[in-house]
Amino acid sequence: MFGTGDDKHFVLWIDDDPLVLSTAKRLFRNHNIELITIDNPLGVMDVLAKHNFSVVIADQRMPEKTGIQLLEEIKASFPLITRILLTGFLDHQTIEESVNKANVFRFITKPWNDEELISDINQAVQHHLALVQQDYLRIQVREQNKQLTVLNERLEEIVFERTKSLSESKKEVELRNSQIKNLIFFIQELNKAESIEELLIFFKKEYQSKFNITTLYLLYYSENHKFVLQYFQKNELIEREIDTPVKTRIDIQYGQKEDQEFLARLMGRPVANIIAFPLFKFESENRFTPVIFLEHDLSPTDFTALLDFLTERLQVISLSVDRSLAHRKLRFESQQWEKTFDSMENPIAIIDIDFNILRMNRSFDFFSKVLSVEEQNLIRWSARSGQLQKSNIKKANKIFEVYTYPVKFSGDQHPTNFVNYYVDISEKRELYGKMIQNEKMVALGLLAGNIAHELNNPLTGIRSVSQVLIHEHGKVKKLVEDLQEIDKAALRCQNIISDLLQFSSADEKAEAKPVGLNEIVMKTLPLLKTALRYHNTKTILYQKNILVRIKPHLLQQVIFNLINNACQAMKEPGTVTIRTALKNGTATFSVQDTGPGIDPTIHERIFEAFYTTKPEGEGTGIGLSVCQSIIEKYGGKIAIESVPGKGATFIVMLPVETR
Amino acid sequence: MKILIADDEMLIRRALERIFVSRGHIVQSVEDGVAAVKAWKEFNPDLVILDILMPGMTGIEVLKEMGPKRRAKVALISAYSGHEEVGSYTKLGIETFIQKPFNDIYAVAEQMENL
Repeated sequence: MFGTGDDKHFVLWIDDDPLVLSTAKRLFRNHNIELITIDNPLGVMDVLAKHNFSVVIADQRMPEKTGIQLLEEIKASFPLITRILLTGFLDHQTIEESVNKANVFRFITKPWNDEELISDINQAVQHHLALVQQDYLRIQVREQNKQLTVLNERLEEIVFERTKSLSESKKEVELRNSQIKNLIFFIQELNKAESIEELLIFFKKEYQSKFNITTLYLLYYSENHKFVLQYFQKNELIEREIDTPVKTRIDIQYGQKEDQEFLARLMGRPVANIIAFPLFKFESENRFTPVIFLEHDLSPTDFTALLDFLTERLQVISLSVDRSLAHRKLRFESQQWEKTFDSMENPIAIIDIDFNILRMNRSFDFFSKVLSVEEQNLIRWSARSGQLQKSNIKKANKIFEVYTYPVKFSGDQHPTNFVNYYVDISEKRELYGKMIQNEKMVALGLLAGNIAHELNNPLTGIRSVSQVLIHEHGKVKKLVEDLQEIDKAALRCQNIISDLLQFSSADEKAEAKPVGLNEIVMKTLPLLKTALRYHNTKTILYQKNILVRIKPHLLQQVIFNLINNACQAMKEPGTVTIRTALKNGTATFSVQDTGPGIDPTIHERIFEAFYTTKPEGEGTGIGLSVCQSIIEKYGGKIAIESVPGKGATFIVMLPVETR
Repeated sequence: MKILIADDEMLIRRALERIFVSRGHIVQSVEDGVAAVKAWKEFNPDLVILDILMPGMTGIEVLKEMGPKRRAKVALISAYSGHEEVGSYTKLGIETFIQKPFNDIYAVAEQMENL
């Protein structure tokens, strides 16, 4: 280290005057300053190199060079050595020059004071030490600065590197973001797709913009239990049911020959590379995992990208396809239900507690959408009791047996919905009515057969005795009149019995033969002379005789009854129009009157046995039912057309006998 | 002429009896088949008016009893009940079959007288 008191400080004194040098030498004996002197400034650099000098003293006036010049040179090589100039004349120019050029620390003037000299030299040594220290510090600082600079430079590098990787990762993030955005868009679009078709079309748009894929095939097991292959053919989506699918799988498979052959067989053409891409199942209970086949012709790089693309979307597509399939199944099943519902001929409706019709089948459409009081009552009773309610209700001019079933959803205390089921029993009723009527007729027939004999005997007796008495007492006018009334009354009884007997005779296997309708009409008319005498008669016969297969006397009875009825219906003189006609293989005989007509409400009843509108004593209510049973027995029917107030027409229709 | 009337309907018997008696015939009336057979044997009538449905014996049975060699003419009468085969009666060797009810008892009586 430097600056410690023990160290020797080297001082060099250069002067051309040897006396000065020796004097100085003496002065620094026993001193911590080692004074070295030289008398020629030319060798000064060599000397300075030998020792670590602290101070150099140079005489101004020397023959070789001036002290200032020398010091200037020394300053250039050894800047830390403190420089002192020794001079006899100290003028301004010297001072200025020495400070400016050689940066001289002190001036010593000759002759010097010894103490001052030593003090000055000591001060110069101290100055040197300070300079050295300064210099050390400077070097230190410079070194540190250097390090700092290096550090700085390194820092920039690091920062640059960091920023570089940052910007790179930003790019990556952006890329990733855009991928995620794409994916989200993809998911959103897929979610919008309401059908597999829409889904496939969208998917196709997506991959087509990125990859060179020839065709996409989707294979799945459909709601109606068929394997379905959907694919694009010239931008058109084809849906095909196929018989044998490929085996179900779990992993993505690439280049399976089996798949290639499977598709080639179906498409009837060679198929390029195939990647099979099984989807996942989520909601659906489908037993077959749907598979997407992509037919492609991709380079390995593109193929890897495609794999990434697909893998990324696998779950989304799977979910969408699965959902679509589940929806399809749901739709299919609901359609099945609707069809089933609609195909039921009986009207059905689902109704809520406020009598709103929630759903109905097609048959119900014919009904009014407002429930009748009876229907509402059924629902009320059903709501109260929680039980099936049933009633016969007239609706749309028919009679329905209406069943109201309460529907309870789980947790509900009371039914909130009701299923109304309507069974049309009009026909059943009609049939039932007819059956009853037939039963009545059969019963009547049997009854008639049994009582006819029993009644005819006494009636014959009554009439016979009356006739005898009339004969015997012809002169007693009053008695004869009474007896005539008795005879007439008995005759009416006989007629009733004779009518009744028609039932039993109608039961017999009649020997029907083809008879001419016109012919029978003409044969019957003379028998009706009495009945027709107050009325006009119009007879309009079909130009040709129409053959019908029936027992002639029964047909005659029908014609007789109908014309007789027509006459009786007209209280005032009117017109009876009798027609025969041929229409669509049906022979018709009709009797039209100009009487009061028949109320529509009794159209059906007037054929009932014992139903009559005639005053008591004038009709038995058997005539029309006998007519009907006769005509129906021979495959025909009787119809009524009537406008109240404008008369009535009875039309007998019989199948034409074609021979 | 001796006329036997066999009918269970009293009013018919009466009516016919009155007519035939008024015309000078001798009339005997019975109301069942057994009496009819007895009266036929004892009374030996020229004309038998025979109802089919009678208590005891039917008119057909009485007819069989009389046999084919009978002297009397027979008019069979019956109230039609809707079940008879009228044609079959004519094969029984009777002179006529007249169906009840009668519309005109005098016409019937005349027809019988003239057999």
